[in-house]
Amino acid sequence: MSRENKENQEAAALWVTAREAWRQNGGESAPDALSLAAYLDGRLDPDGRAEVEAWMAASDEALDLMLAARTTAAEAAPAALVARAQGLVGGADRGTRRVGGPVARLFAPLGDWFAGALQPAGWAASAAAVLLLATGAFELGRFGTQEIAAVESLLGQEIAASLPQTTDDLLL
Amino acid sequence: MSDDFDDDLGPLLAGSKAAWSRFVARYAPVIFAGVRRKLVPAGRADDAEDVAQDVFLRLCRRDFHLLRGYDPARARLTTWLTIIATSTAIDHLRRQKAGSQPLDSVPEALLAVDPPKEPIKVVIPPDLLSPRQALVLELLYRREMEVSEAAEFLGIEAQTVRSMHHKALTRLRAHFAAEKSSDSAPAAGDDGGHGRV
Repeated sequence: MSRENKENQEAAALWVTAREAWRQNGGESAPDALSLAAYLDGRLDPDGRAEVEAWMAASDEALDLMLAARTTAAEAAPAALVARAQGLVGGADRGTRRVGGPVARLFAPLGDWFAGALQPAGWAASAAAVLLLATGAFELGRFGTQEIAAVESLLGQEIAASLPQTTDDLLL
Repeated sequence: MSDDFDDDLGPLLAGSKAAWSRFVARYAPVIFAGVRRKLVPAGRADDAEDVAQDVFLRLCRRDFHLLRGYDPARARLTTWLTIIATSTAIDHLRRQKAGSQPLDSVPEALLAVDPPKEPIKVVIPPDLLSPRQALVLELLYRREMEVSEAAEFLGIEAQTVRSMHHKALTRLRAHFAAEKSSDSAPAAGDDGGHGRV
């Protein structure tokens, strides 16, 4: 084994012995995602960099996250994923529906709330309309049956009256 | 990749479905890659689509609350999305690990614990190593990075990494040597607050 390798092994063992004890000195809180991204982009100020580095040095999971995120090579995403994700924001295009003006913007959340609250009301109204139509159709059907019965009854009487008399009468 | 949306997330945040659809089509590959980078080595590649969907859900829920926190002046959108995707994947793996196997289904033999050995407690004074020095040692010895690779990750010169590495090891060696000498001189009866307890 070369001298350099031996020194490396000794140094690695030294760090293994020391790291957990060093980590017990402080619990670093996780910086926000934007600070982490800024670190990877090299846009963080020295204080911010020191904060992120302290966090990475104190936790395996933190360092794992940053090492995994440091390269951003994209991969083709499945079409099903894209379609599903695009469907997460649905309905009418709110961006074109909204009108400008400070007052309109002030009351815009109220409009959204009403839109949300009125959606179930819309479904209820549709269900009521269907029920009404069904009842109407049933009543019409029932009325129609009675009419037909009455007409049939009248026709029956007229036909009976117009029929020739019984064979007994004819023979007599 | 240039970030088309960096300068104008306005229409998307105003609720434009068309803008959201364009955003998803543009950044799904970035998010999917970020998620897979954590899930594939853990043997959970099949979960990638669902976890990526979860990332999009996080971005748009509560009226795009998370996305509104993004600031193009501070970081690139692709980098920020990669951080969000990677952390979502880590959370997913943590949840899977926690709920993967009920304790009752584990054979008792596997739950057996070796009798505890006498722990050797090491105390390192907080100011012995700076976080950056500790990070350099971690990258070189635990993550087995080359000096140049560690330098690139930390955004500093390779020579600075070598210098920090050297100083950190010198301090550790001196600390442990002092501990050893205080241990071998019991008559002193004082380790100065540092050393084995």
